[in-house]
Formats: sequence, structure tokens, C-alpha cells
Amino acid sequence: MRDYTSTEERIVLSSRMAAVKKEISQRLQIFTYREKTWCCPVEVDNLTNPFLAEFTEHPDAPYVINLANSIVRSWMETPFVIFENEAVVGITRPQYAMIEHFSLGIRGAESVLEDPDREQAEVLYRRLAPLTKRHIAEEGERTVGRTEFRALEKDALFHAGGYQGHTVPDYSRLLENGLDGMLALIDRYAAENVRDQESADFYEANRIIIRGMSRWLETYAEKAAQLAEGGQVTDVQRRYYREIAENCGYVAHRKPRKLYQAVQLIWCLSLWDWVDCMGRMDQYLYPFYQSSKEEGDVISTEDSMVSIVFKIWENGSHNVTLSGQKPDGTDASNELSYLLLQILREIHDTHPRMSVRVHKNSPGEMLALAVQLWSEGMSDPTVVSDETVIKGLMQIGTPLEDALDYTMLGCQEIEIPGKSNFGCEDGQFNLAKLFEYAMNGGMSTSNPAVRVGPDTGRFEDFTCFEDFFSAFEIQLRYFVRIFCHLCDSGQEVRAANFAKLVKTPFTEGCLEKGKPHDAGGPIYNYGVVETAGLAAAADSFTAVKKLVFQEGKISRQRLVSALAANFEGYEKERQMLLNRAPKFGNDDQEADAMAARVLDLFWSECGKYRSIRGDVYTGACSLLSGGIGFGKKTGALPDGRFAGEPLGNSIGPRPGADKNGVSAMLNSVAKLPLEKGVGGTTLNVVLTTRMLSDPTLRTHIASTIRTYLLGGGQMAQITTANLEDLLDAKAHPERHGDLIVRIGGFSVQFVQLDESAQNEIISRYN
Amino acid sequence: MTGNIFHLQRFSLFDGPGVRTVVFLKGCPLQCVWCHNPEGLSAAPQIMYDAARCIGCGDCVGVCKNGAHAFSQGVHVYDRSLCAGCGTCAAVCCTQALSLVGRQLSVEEVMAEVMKDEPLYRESGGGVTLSGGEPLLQADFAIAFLKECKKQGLTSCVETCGMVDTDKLMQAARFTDLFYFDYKATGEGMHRKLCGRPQTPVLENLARLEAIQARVVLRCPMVPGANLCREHILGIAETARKYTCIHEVQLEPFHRLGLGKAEKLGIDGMYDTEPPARAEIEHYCEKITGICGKRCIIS
Repeated sequence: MRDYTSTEERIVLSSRMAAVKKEISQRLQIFTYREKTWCCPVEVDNLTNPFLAEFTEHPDAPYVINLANSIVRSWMETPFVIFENEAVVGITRPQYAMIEHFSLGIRGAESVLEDPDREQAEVLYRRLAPLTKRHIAEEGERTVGRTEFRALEKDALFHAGGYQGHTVPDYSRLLENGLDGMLALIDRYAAENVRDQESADFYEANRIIIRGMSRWLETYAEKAAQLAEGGQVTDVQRRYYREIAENCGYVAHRKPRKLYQAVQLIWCLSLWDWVDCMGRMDQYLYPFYQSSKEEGDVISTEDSMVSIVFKIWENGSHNVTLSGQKPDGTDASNELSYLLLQILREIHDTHPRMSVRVHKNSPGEMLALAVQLWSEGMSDPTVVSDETVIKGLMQIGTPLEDALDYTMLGCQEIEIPGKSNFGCEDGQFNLAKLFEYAMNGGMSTSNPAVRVGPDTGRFEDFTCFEDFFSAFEIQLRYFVRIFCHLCDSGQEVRAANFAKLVKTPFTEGCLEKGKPHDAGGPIYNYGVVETAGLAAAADSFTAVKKLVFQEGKISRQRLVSALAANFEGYEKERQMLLNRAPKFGNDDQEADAMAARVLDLFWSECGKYRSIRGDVYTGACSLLSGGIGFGKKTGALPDGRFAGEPLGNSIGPRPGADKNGVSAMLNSVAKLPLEKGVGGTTLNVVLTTRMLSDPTLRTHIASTIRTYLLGGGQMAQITTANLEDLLDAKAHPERHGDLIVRIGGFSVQFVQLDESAQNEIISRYN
Repeated sequence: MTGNIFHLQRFSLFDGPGVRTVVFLKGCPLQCVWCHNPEGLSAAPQIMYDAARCIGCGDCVGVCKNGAHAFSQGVHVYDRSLCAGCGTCAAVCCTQALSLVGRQLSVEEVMAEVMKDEPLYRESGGGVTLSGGEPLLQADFAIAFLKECKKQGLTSCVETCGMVDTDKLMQAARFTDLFYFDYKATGEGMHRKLCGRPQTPVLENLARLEAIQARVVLRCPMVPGANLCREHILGIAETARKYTCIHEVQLEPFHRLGLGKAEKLGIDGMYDTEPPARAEIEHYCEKITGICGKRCIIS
């Protein structure tokens, strides 16, 4: 039996840090919800939009040069703010999001239209649209034809074209070279690769970004130096202003020597990268941490780490990854890994999010600390299996050395930091809807007049289950082809618009090949397709196989009628479908094998297509909100689900269907071909507070999670609450602002969820 | 060889070390008034009927050979006195309003289910717990199963009321790592009144476990108005002090989860009272530890 000796408190926040925490909490309250800044009017508080201004002032300049200058200008016109007590500086500009949308092309602007503040969003849309080069809607129409493309998306079969995506820039490259070193790197590759004006412009755009970062840091240095000379400043604060001035001035050009400087420099990149993801912080910062500690400045090392985590918290970057393995395969946990988790524990909020990589030689202490955090009501860290992820990465051709270095990012995605663009949700596909198409011979229940898929025949006419499953396969092949082409179109738009320009010099391969980040520049360019409706489709197949084809308890005609009527007048059939056929999530061989078969079929089919960026499409399954959205437009299904109900939680079983306990549920999920879900598969595990209430029980939970992760599982995120908590929170939201649950990659306040999402969580308590 | 099993409960965190699967065997020699697993009392298969789930499809009426199910003015009437416990109705009930409690399963069948969590037992130091009912009432099956567990390298616990054949208990002990031994009352009178049988054989069996120095946890239900009195608390403490094989005492506060099940089984006259206050039980824990010098916790 493993020793999960509980971890000692490794840090105690100084009173200064407690003060910073309080201040940040207050600042966050002002925004209340970071995404409120998602959409701002183009002009706000008399600030003109520097982003648009650059394009307007230089209508004839090359697009990519204008884009680079716009980015720099945006950051230089963001207020240079140094809050009291903070040691690392730089804040997101409230309007940063418009730049993000711009780089997406029209599609991104369309998603803005779903923003609550629609009026402002439309202003933004109108101003941005003419500037983007290509539009995904046109691409869809070109590939599939106008009517069909619209019909498929509207019918919730899939959502192609994806989102802007997350990637982790190569922080090590920045730390090792410094900004001047980065310029030298750009010059070196430019000298090798520039052949024409277009390629010259590409390298120049990269230089503009790097020079901009230097200027931005210098400006902060000047500002801090001025403040340090102020008369009303305490000695402590004066010391911090001087430190900031020194650090920013130093790393504006040179590579950092100490931890303080290193965190300032990576924070600069993280900000400019639109507060994306931090990657394996405990790894790339560790050399600086060690040397700073050896110099004896213990307070300073802890201060530095607290400062950077607080910055991440305040500004909302995604996902810090901890632990895992070193390039030689040995355990990578170090003091920093524990320190970062302890800081997270101290913050006790939904942000920042952290993930812990677990492998067969992971120290018990690391997982024990994770369980400790869950027991205190936190949903972080997510835990991830090195064994499954690395196996999967290698199966699609990633060399071991790079696979060992994978990081978590975004909500629950996976990639090779600084070397890849996994697209991050190139699209989402609804398997439950596809089941509907297979039952209806290529037609949707919502529009039975139009056949959009191949005519595979009526369900009433199938005489054996395998014939019916073949019909599903035919539909799947047909629609996956269209889907992948449309995902490609989305990528073409991004490539044409030079999305994620800031990442380009910090992603290995881009400078080397002279190609932008979204145009196949990085070394690895896998596509990622999200999967919705797995449990619904699989359980529907299992029920149909058993009750219709094997036992004949429900006739084919009667099932078709029952579904068409949304079970109205067919409650007996619905009850049989619910109770008389096994469901995925109970460690039942038949039901689990069906889920594995469906998932393997879908992901293997996607794997036959190569994304336009260069590498194959791989699977992912981490949708919750998508499960709700897709569910609304999916008809009644033979798993007993009514039309419009949510489709279930990511890779997990149908809500409430797992009745055999946590271990059975985990076993079921671990039987799926999760290694093929290289894009990330989220499993939401709800633990009751009682299961975590004493040290012995916490040990059992650690063992349970470890067994899952080492036995074929891929990822688990934990929600801790008791049923009474949840029911009371639903009835009295005002009393439960602190109840944090984690669903589909987001830690959220339970009371902010809409009713169907709340019910989804509640239904997980059997 | 088969056993009459009424439940296999996986991911049990409270019935022995580590994560365990609990195998519930049907039938019990005692008739404790507060029994929280009333479906384990009778050795015969039974039908559990949950009226709230019935949608009135009437399928049960058609399949029952004894006419136990009928519909009177649209309402499902189930006459338990006519029921043979064959389970035919449960097999056709689409909502599982009717379910059969007690299935004959072979050692291999139970083992196959148990082994699904084998990696987790190894990781957590868990294994299998036999419970019931009284598992040693089906002694041959229980012993064969425990033997198989040892063969598979699983740790085994047995939860027993103590009212069992001594020879069988000794045989089972060879393959049992830990006994949860019930101590429900102090004195013959109290034991007979609350559990329906004498206590002497129970205590003799405890002495036999002492003789072979088995590992024992003493488990004591705490039922207000029944056994929750000073005399019994002292009895628990004295027993725990007397037997060196007992290394821990667990007090189990009365709860009402058994009542709903009893109703669905048509069992009347179950004891009902308010569950005791936790602080009160914690106080007894301290008191018992003070006397016997052994750990005493609320389970």
C-alpha cells in the first residue's frame, strides 16, 4: 500500500502577500466576471481603439505589418499601472478581446454576437468584418453548398471551424535567449529564408512584436523608477518600485539572471499572448528558483512565485501544469510544484487553474496534496495520466522526448508546449445527432423532409443489429468527411489572417520554416475534434441491440413511433429502454464495449483526415455546455432520453446512469480508447464531502484516482459537495456564492449556472 | 456451489481497510428490531415493491402464476401472501418497481464481479467484506468464497452477528483477516428482547476468536430507547477490555435508512426513533476508550 503521508504546510504567506490577496479580490469584484470584458465597444471612455487606428492610418501597408504594429500599439496604449504591494507588473487591457476576435476572422466576430451585450458586439462586428481577409461562412458554402452547410450546423450535427484555440508559447526559448536574443534568432532565420517581400514582411512583423515587448518593459521600468522617487512612498513600497524598475529594465533586452526577473519576463509574454496558458511552470522556472534560493534569498523566491501566480489569478490566464516527467522519464515534481499548489490552496478561488500530471513513479505526496485541496472544496487541480497521454501522443507520431514534455492548456486540452498548434477544437461533432440520422436514413427528425445524408434505409427495415450499425458507419463516414473539410476551412481563415502572431516567434518551427503559427509553422499541427453525445449514442445502441434486435421486446416500428412522439403515450417503452438495457458507466462489459466501439469508430475516421496545418485530426471529449447546446436540438433517443435534454457530460456516463459506485464508473471510462483522445477527455467526478472527511478516506480517494489514471484513464476533475449543499444552492443562490463546481473544464460558481446545468450536477448524486 | 446474495456493493469506503467490495448474503439468525438491512433478514428470495415507480402497465399480472398481482380500479395490488418469490414479475417489470432480492450466485460469479476492482484493492489496501444478513449462515459458501479470496491475494473481512456455528466460524477464521463482530446488547435479557436470541453463544464465539487471536473490531449499534443505556456502554467497554483480540470499537448510531426498505418488503413493526445526537455518541466513544484503552470511533 502506498504511503500518502500528508504534506506539511510549505509556505505561509507573509502579511504583505495577504494584503495583495485582499486587493486582488477587491479588484476582481469590480469586474465580477472577467469575461465581462470580453466585448467592449470600440470606443470606451474616450479611448480610441489603437488596433483599428493602425489599419486606418496605414491603409497601404502590408496586412501582417499593420497587425504587428496594432498589437504593439494596443499594449503601449494600455495604461501602465503598478498596484501597491505588487512585485510583478502588467495588466490586461479591458478591450484586449477585440484583438483576439479580429485575428479569428469573421467567425470569431460571429461568436461575439452571442455576447450578452449584443449591441456593442454588433458595432465591433461591423468595424472588424471588412478588415478580415476571408470568412468561414463562405468557405462552408464553397465546400458543402449553402443550404446543406447551414442546415447541418443549425441542426446541431456539428460545429465546424472551431475557436481561436489555446497554445503554450515556448517560455524556455524566451528565458534562454532574452528579447535581444530573440531578435538575433529572427535575424538568423530571416537571413536563411527571406526570398521575397512577403517573407521579408513576415520576419519584420516578428521583430516588431519583440521590439514592442522591449519598449513596453522599458516603459514600466521608467514608470517604476519615477514612482520610487515619490515623496509619499513607504520604504517597503519604494524597495518594490526599485526592484520593478531594475527587473523590467534588465529583461527589456537581456536574459534574466534571477527568478524575479524570469517571472516578470514570462508575464510579459503571457500578457501579450492574450493571457493564454502558462505551461509547465514548475519546470521552466525551476533553474531560476534553484539559483535564487542558493543565493539565500528565500523570501524573494517565494515572493516571486506568489507574485506571478497572483498575476495569473488577477488576469485570468489558463492552466498551469505541474509535475509529470523529465526528459529522461524520471519524476519531475520539485519544490516549485508543491509551492505552486500551496499558493493555489491559499487563493482558494476558481482561478488560476492548475493540472497535475500523474505517472507510475509519481510521489504519493503530490496526489495527496491534490486530494487535500479537493477536500477543502476546491475543484483544482485536475489530474492527468502521463501513461495514457504519452502513449497517445506517440501513437500519432510524436517522439518520446517531446511526448514526455506535454502540457495541459485551455480548459482540458493537451499539447507539446512551444512546439505545436493542436488547433484546439477545430470543431465539435454530435454523435447523438448522428444516431438520429442513421435511424432516419440520412434525415434529421427536426427536418424529415430533406435528406442530407446518404439514404441508408429505414430503421423499420433492418433485420439485424449489425446492419443498423453499418448504416451508422456510412452516415459517419459521409459526415466526418464534410466536417473535417469545414474544420480545414476554419484553419484557412486563421492562417490567412495571421492569427496568434505573438506566438509565432515563440513556437518552434515557425521562424525555422518562415510560416505563421496557424499556417503549419509549428513542428506539430494535429487537429482536434470535440465529441458530444457519446454516452447517449452508445446507450441508444446498447438498448436497441438488446431490446429490439435480441429480445424483441420493442418492435422496430414501435420504437420509431415512440421516438417520433417523444415517448408521449409510450412511457412503458421509455421505462424499458431506461431500465432494461445496461448503461455505460457501470462497469458492464456490453454497455462499455459499445461506447468504446462508437468512440473508436469516430476518432479513427477523423484520424484518416489530415488537417490543413499538416497533421491528422485527433479526438477530444470535454464538452459540457456543448452537451447542453447540442442536446437542445437532438430528438428523443432509445436510451430513454427525451428530446431536448442535455447529452451528458463529456466522456462520462449519462447523468445519473452510473449506479455502481465511483470505481465502476472509472473502470467503464478507462475501457474507452482514451489514448486516441489526444486533444483531451474530461471526466467529471463528483465526490461527496463525506468521502473526503478524514485522512484515511482521502488516502482511499487518492488510491482510486491513481488506479484510474494508471489503468487506462486519462483525466479527472473533481467536484466536491454534498447533495444538500447543491439543492440549497439552487433554491437560495444568494447563500452559496462560494460553492465552486468544475464542469467541462471550467470551475464556476454553482449559482451562476443555468438550471439545466445545475440539474446535471445534481443528478450525479444517486 | 452457490450462495444467496442480495447485493454486491462496490466502492465501499466504510467496511474495512482500503476500498472494498461488500458481498451481502441473505438470511440472519437474529431478528434485531432496528435492522438496517431488512432485506437480509429472511433466507428466502423476496420481492421488493416500490409503489412510487409503478406506471400500471400490468405486465406483472400476466406473468404471475400465483395471482399475487392484480389491478383493482386501476391501482396495482400486490398480495405478498400469494407470492412464491420466483421473480418472474420482477423480470418483466419495466420500471423496476418490482425487484427480486436474493439471487443464487456461484463463487466464480461473485468473484468475477469482485475482481473488477482488483487493481484498486492493491493500490488502497482494500479487498472484500462479507456481510449480510449473517454471512456465516451460509457457511459453506462463505468459506469457499473466502478461500478463493485468499487464493487471489485479496484481503477479507467478515461482518458477523456472532450467532453462528462455532466450527464454521473457526474454519472461516483461517481465511479471514478481520472480523467485525457485533455486540448489540448487554445481558441475556436485553439481547433476547432486542435480537430475539440468547447472547451466550455469541460471547462463546467471541471467546473462541480470542483463543486463536483473530483480529476483531467490535461493532455496536447505538439505538436510543433500545440499548442506549449506561449499563450497555459499560458492557461494551468491559468486553473490549476483556478480549485482547479486539483492537477497536465502532459505535454505529441508529439511522432510518432501513425503514423505507422494510416498507417495500412488507415488513411491519420495525423499530423507529430519532437518531441519537452525534455529540452524545462521541462522548460514549471517549468513555469507552477511557475504560478499555482501545480506539473507539463512530462508524
